[in-house]
Amino acid sequence: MRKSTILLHLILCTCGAVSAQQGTIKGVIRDTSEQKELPNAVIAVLRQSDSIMQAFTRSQPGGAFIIKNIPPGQYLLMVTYPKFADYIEPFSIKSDSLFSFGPISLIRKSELLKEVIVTQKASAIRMKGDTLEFKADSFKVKEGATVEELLKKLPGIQVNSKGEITAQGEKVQKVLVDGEEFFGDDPTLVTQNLRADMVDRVQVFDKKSDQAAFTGIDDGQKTKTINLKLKDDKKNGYFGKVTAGGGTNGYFDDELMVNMFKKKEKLALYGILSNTGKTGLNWTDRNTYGQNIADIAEYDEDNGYFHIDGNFDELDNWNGSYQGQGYPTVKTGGVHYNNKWNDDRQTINGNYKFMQLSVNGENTTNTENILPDTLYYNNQHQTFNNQIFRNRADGNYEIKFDSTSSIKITADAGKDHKITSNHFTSQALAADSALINSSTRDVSTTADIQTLNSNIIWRKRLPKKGRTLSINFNEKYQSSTASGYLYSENNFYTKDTLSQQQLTDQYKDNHSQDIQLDSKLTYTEPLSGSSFIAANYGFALVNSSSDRSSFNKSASGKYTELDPLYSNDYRFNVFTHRGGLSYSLVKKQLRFSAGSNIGLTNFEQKDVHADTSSTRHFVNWYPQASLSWTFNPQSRLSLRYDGSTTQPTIQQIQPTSTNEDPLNIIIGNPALKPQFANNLSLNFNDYKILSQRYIYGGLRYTATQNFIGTRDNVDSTGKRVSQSVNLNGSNNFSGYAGYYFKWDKPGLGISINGNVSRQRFVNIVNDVLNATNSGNYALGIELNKSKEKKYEFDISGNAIYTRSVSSLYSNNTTSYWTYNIQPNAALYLPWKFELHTDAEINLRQKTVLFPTSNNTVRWNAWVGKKLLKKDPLLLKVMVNDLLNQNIGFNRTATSNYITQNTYSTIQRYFMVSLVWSFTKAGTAAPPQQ
Amino acid sequence: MKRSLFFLLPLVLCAALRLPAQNTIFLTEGKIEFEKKINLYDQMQEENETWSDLMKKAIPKFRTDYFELLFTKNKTLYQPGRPNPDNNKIQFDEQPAQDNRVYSDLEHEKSISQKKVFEQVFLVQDSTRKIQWKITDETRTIAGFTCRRANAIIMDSVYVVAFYTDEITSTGGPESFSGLPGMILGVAVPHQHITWFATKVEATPVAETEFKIPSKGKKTTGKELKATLGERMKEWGKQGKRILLVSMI
Repeated sequence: MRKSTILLHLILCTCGAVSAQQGTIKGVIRDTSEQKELPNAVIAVLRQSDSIMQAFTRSQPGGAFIIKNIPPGQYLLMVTYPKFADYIEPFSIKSDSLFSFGPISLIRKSELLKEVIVTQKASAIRMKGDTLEFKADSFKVKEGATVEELLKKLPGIQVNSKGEITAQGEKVQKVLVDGEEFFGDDPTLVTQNLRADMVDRVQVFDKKSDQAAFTGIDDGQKTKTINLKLKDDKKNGYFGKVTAGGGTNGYFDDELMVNMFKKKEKLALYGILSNTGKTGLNWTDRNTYGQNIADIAEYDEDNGYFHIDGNFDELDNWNGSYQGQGYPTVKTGGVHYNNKWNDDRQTINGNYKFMQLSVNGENTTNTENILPDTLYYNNQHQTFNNQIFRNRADGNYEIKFDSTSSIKITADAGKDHKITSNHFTSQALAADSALINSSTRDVSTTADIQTLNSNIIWRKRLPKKGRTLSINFNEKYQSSTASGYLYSENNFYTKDTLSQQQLTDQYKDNHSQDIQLDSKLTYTEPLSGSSFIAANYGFALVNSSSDRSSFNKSASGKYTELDPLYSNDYRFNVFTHRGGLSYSLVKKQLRFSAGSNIGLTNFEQKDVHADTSSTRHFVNWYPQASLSWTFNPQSRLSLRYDGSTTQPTIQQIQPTSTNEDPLNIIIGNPALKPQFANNLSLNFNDYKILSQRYIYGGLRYTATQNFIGTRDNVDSTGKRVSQSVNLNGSNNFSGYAGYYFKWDKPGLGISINGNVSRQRFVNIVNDVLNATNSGNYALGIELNKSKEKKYEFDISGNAIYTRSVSSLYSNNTTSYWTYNIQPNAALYLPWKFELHTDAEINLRQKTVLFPTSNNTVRWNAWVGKKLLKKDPLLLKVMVNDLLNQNIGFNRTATSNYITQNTYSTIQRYFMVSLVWSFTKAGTAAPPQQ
Repeated sequence: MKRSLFFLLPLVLCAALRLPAQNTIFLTEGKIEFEKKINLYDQMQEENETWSDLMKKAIPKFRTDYFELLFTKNKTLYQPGRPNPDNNKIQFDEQPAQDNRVYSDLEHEKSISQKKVFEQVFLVQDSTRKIQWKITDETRTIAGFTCRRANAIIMDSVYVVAFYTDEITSTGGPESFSGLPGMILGVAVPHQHITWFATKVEATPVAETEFKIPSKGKKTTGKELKATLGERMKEWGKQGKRILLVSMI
């Protein structure tokens, strides 16, 4: 023994040239009670100062161990062996020394534990229910105290010097923080610690084993667990912004937005007075000062997408700006409230808004009408002055009874009062430019529209994984009352001489009502871990009524003579029993689903004045199938088919004529059948995130059976009578593709995209079946480059070619190019100045039909300077349409008429505005714009 | 109380029967199944609030994946294990360097790991990570083995908690965690909200041929990978830092 030590010493000395001043330790591990050597024991050398492990080894079959190359210092020797108590002994290594421990005797834990069992006492504290909960704030701890210090204060909980926690006499096996295991931070390694003041509640409970939680069968395995529920870090406070802007030509834009919050409760308000096209909150402001999208979006787990139920129209769009024609002036405001309580199990969202909008402007429409082997032209000029006063309230309430069942109720109600007033003048010309007719017309209407929609859904997850049940009831109600005057003078010409005159002077009184009730029961049964079958059954009821009355002016000058040609009272009730099955498969890379609903539909149609009624029956199919292949998380190919049925509306089916434009009479068709569309789509996308490249593309095809189209009859005076009819042969195809990549060297993002859409549109004109084949072909490119807080720049350009041919007159082909270029730049300058400018350049090719130039450049710019400490104030000077060239413009060529529409829209103005963002001290405000 | 009695009963019996100590079995080779858990919600806290609230509706709080660790005295191979069908439904969530395969030659201190970060598969050849473990006296039972806790800081700032057992003589562990006196059966990276815990240990012989050393991917070293990802993620803010860190674990 001694000899080998000396030998070892010699060896160490010889190689001391390399590892000088390093020590060696050795020893033998034994079992005290058995008096036997223990092989495989772990012998670890820990630094005494911080317990960092310096070296370790295992004992040899004879129990001996040796560890070399230990730098000089103070150490702890730790010897461990399964089921034996740890052996710890301090020692120090001086340079080139050998430290011999001799035999180290380990003691079995069982010998020690006997005593422990005797000394352990049952706790006097009893559990209340399953969980014992402490409100952290009711126990005083010093500022910056750790969670351990808080726990020590709680009755029935002990924390020993090692940091081990005992609750009600049992060792706590797991400490969770909001359900995730908390390992405790080692203060010598980590500076950020969980502080006592971050804890809201301390819950102590017996956690069932994962197996028991999964199967629901209690196996009796429980572990004492502490869960720390943290406080919501959202503080109480408020923030908001005020904008005041005044400009040339009477333009103004004044806004106020406030968001007040108290934990999970939020109250937000906004008010806008503007005539610059702003009609509401835009996307980002809405999330902050209105209904946050995340609070109302629902996730469809089976299909993997979010959806938001709601009613949107042209005045209620996503970017909060007016999209229509003319000059809008708006006064609008709204209130939003939401709250979550009871551990987020109950949530409520509510919104109310009102809007007073008035729009006036002018509009010119030039149309080429294609008739069998001939043409005629129509030029119309309109001035309009419309007003709407809108009130809308919506809300939802959801309660989660437990983790398996919930009820959600959503409702919205609206009340609109509309006053519209329009003046039209028009001329129709024959192919040889001879005047056919001319018209002046005034239409004024006052309408009141009321809506009330509601939905209630109960969802239940049954004990078997994947088995679910849901019941949904839906109600929709809309009623509309519209009354007003129609005054129209039409002159008809033969060979440029007046041949006939028509005067219409009527009072109109229209009432319509629509009630829909829908119910649906859905049951999902898992077939395996990845495949499901879903069955649903429900019935739907739609009751519509439309009472239209037209009164001619009697000799007394009052509108008392009912005109039976343009008056009708009609009822249209649709009752559908609907049920179906679908199968779905969800694998890691593959998702597939297929199924169909079948609907047995009854139409009940009743003409109240004529006292006639009829009943029709239809069988409607609602097939769908989808396949998506996720090659990897960045690339996916999906294919989807669905067949959709559209029922005719009462306006299309009511057997009466409407003469709002006496030159364009519309007649309903009580024999209309439901329309059925087959939709097929293919989508592909592939991202490369590290190399910043993105490819996407898609195809879409729709072919419609019994398409609800029109049959037009145009007589020699240029009068058109149009009726809805079912037609076959309409289809459309579209495709899109794009490629984005980053050109690394100049840091330029480049994207190229293309679009193709082709359409075959079928209608009947003067008893001849017409098919219009039209196409749009677009190619675009976009470049962008930016540097955070320095500059942003992008430019996009598009070239679009449009072509259209009608089979009625195949020698007459319409084709033209349009180009659109949009540069956009922002520059962030010193002294908190910033400059933004953007332009939209539109080049529209003249055609034989539309010979006037419509090329425009709309150039906007603004300069801003942030003021005061922390930039709460922004001073902006802006110009809209600097060159005063902006026009509203629209061209369509998809049917037997080619139309160009130009209308008044906001042009040049200058504006100075001040935006003040305010925040209550200490609240987290959203980033400034 | 009940629980501790259960726990103590075999020990008491063992003592009563006075079984010789040599009966303690030390595993030198076998297979371990690890359950990797990621708290997806906590990872989103740094992102846009509307976005994270929306995502919480689509994805569960925890994502669980299974991995297999083959070990002999000097070698370990960590690779994806049985699939978890619950994850098929999770969309909008891509964890970088998730399905890693890590081969470690503990004797020669060499490791080869295959990591897929977004579209790119990397083959990282490096020496095994040297970790300064701080040994504690805290113990817990994992998959039936008594484990001792050790703490450490890796990559300059990442706090790691590991639990190792001296009943398995291999000094390896899941991913690239190693260097403790026994097999690591549990790892937590608390501030990144990721844990690996053994759920099953099988004492079966492991043939040499079962160590399929990863060979596919863009060859790189740890240092180079950090530089490559760091360059790409620099415009991604806090999220980019997390992606870089998680990819390098």
